[in-house]
Amino acid sequence: MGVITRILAALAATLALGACNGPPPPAQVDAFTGIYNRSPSSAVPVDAPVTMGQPVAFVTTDNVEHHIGYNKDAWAYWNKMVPTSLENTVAMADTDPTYFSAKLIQMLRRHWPNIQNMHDLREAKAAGMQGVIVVDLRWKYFEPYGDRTYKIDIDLYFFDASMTPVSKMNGHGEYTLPMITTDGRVQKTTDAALAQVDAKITALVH
Amino acid sequence: MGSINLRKVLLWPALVVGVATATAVHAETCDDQVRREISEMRRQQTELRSQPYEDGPIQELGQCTQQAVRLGLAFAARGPASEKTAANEELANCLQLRIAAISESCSCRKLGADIGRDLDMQGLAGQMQDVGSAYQRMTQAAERARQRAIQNPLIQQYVAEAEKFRQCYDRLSINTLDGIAKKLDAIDPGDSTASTGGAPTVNAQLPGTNAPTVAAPPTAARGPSVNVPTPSNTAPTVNTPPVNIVTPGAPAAVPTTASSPSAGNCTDLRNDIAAMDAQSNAMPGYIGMRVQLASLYNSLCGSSPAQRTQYWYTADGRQLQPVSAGARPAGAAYAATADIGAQCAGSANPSMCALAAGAFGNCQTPPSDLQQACAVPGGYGDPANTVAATGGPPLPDAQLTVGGKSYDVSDGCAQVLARISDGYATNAQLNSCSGALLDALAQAAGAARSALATALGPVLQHGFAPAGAPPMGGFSAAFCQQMENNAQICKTRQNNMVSCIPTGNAQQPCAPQDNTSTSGQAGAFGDCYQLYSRFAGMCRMNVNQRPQIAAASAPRTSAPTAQPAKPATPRPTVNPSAPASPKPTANAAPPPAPAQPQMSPQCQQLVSNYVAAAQANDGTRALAGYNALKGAGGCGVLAKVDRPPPVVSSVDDLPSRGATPLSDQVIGGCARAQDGCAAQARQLQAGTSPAAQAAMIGNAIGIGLQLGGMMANGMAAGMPQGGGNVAVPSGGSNMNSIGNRPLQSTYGQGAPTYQPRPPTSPSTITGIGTH
Repeated sequence: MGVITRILAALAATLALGACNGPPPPAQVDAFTGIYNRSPSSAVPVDAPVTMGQPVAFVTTDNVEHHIGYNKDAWAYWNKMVPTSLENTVAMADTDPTYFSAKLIQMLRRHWPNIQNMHDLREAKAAGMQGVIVVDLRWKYFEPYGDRTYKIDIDLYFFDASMTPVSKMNGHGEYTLPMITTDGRVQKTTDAALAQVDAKITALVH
Repeated sequence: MGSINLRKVLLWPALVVGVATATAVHAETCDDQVRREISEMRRQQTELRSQPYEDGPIQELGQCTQQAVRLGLAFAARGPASEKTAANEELANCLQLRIAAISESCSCRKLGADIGRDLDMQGLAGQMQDVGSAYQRMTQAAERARQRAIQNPLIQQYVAEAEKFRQCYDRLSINTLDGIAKKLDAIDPGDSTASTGGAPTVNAQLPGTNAPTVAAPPTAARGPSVNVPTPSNTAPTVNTPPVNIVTPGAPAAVPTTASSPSAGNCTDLRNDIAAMDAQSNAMPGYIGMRVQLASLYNSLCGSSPAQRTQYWYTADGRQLQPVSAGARPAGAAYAATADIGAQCAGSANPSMCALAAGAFGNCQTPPSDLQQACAVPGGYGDPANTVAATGGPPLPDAQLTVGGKSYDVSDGCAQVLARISDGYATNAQLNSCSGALLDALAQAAGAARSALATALGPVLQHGFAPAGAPPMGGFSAAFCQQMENNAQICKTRQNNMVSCIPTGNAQQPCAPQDNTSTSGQAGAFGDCYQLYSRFAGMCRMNVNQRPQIAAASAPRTSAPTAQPAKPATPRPTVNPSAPASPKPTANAAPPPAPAQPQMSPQCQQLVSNYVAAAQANDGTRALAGYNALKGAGGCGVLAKVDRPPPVVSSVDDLPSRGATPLSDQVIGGCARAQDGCAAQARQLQAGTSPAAQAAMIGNAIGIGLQLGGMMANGMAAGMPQGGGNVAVPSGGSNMNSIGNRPLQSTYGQGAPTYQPRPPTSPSTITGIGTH
């Protein structure tokens, strides 16, 4: 009995790492993939002051879509491998993309209470949006047998009414996982990244 | 004038107009692909530069912009702007570099050079700079060869070979240019057999297909620095920068390597102009260019010294002493020949008016506001040193076709017509035109002759089309861009002209001479610049600032009645006095309309300053001028041209994105929720709390304990040994909850009282041993 107990405990701790094994993390794509094809996102000036007209919309990038999908796939994978009763619910809560979504919208609404979510710039343009924020989420995923630091970068690209990118603002967070943990601190790291970009918006966007 | 032959410069644009309108259906060739790519980049540039200017701190030039300026592809200077404005300009110039790099890629490919598309912008800028440096090393080697009295044709052949690679921005070009430089350094005066030995086998007389060239005409006696036109279909021919060697003590402006314009040369120029009169007089914008040409011709080839003598004038048009008499007299506002002076008196900016008309006396001691502008016209040098003894036959009157009939147009009349839309001309000045022409113009304008000065503007803008008739057409944006490019290339090359004064020192035989781009070949490039600028100005006014005309000028089904024999080539509408190349770099706003008579003096000054800066391609000053004008409320003119940034991108320009079901669910779901998923976020936060972590571990342990109990009671008989699925009881667990774990029946809240013992054997369930 003792053996089994240890095994289960170890398994729980392993699952806490969420992305230890399982599906490979998604490849990162340019933030403008499928959204804007006149210039790459790397050409957008960083931290340039911005004046945003109203109404404002935000669009999330393919990286966000991929990240959500990755989480979904990872948990589907573990659901197959691990009995439901042994799922690491802490890790699930920690990495649930709903948290990122909620905190992002919360932050954006502080600046633009009526901000709307749009599918793409095309839709935003057609809807008469005077400014669009393209939200990109870049992850450097945790490597269980390598660099145990994961990094989260939240990039906001500000588009003016002509759907031209005028500024990029970044928030960064990272955390190095200890060998045994049930807490990946993804939420806290997300909060840190969002706080950074929030401060930049306050300072640079009018 | 040096060895100027402007024929190709003059004829090329007309040819391009014709070619540009021809349509051909064929598979996409290399050239097609390049054109398409360039078109897309141009569109992006337009978009970038259509952004409103934003003021800010002094901005330094970015790497792309610096390189673009070096190559003459852009004009920019550090100045006040927001980071966004500066970044937009930098990006636009990066695109300009990319355009320059790929524009020759097809011909470069034939040379074996590969213009990579994969270089990033900074890498490309660096590569272009490297090629530029290699080219400079080659030209320096050519200069050293000339200093060693190497026969010029031999040098020329090497240089001609090098020119082929100059605009191929790749490693092969750098190596080739450096290789040629070494060969140039290796030859000695005895290597006089031009095309033998190590000399490259090139045809020094390659035809300048379509390319504007500024080269010695066949009839002119060639000096040592013969210019070799090389084929190019997109840019002015790359001419060898000749080195004007002057002897110590001699006037600096006297080029010894280029002959003064012979009578034959002036005759050629005259004949070319006459040919254009015959073939292109109905072309919209022709009058303005014809005025420019006439001024140029008279300044350089005038049949009498009186035609070439420039006088100082006061602002109100009072003639003062000749420029040749010495220093600028008190009260002098501008310098011009007598006829230009009369035309420009009373204009908003007589200095610029005279300058645009080809009177360059101002530039001998230019005031600060003309220094930039004089950098180009100064290229003509001192006419007294170049053409005083030559002269040429008088230029014939221009021709103008109005209502299907041709009329002689004197130079004075042409100048008045050219200035009408600028608001410079008055009705009285129109009296220099013949009565028959004025009658025809009045009929075309649908106005009385006494009101022509104000009524004629629309007719001019419509290319002298009859009243009520649609405009004849407009230049294509690509054509205009090409004109601009060519103008800038000419200017760059003019600025790159080098001269030196022999020092007699074998180690350093040549002392650089300042301000050398004022004569000879440099002057020829100045001519080239002026002419292309004239075309570019016309284009901009017709394509960019009057899109409604361009839109209305789509090819028509019937040929215009006035020109039944002409092909239905879209024609630009006329603004004959389009300013020469207004291009404020950091400000996408087009230059304002010229000052109107009812403007206050202050406004007139502001407008004049801005226009002058724009015409001088002085980005910083143009920006300041724009800001000053804007600060003054626009003076009633800025609003006409400085509209809010056009919404360049239509919905159709933006990609239609594929489905994003997950984002729609997760992000979109929260965005639609009143609370933005705040409640869920709180739940998730709770799910990672220390209590939740403890509960999860406790749960795992609890399950383990239950499992152990079952095994101990022989209830796990079906459990496979050594791996496989783990059969565990599912009762009592609601693990799908992501909130705090429910308390297990076994334990109170907190740590379990039962502490499991260390394992004593490897697992038989998972196969993983954990001793």
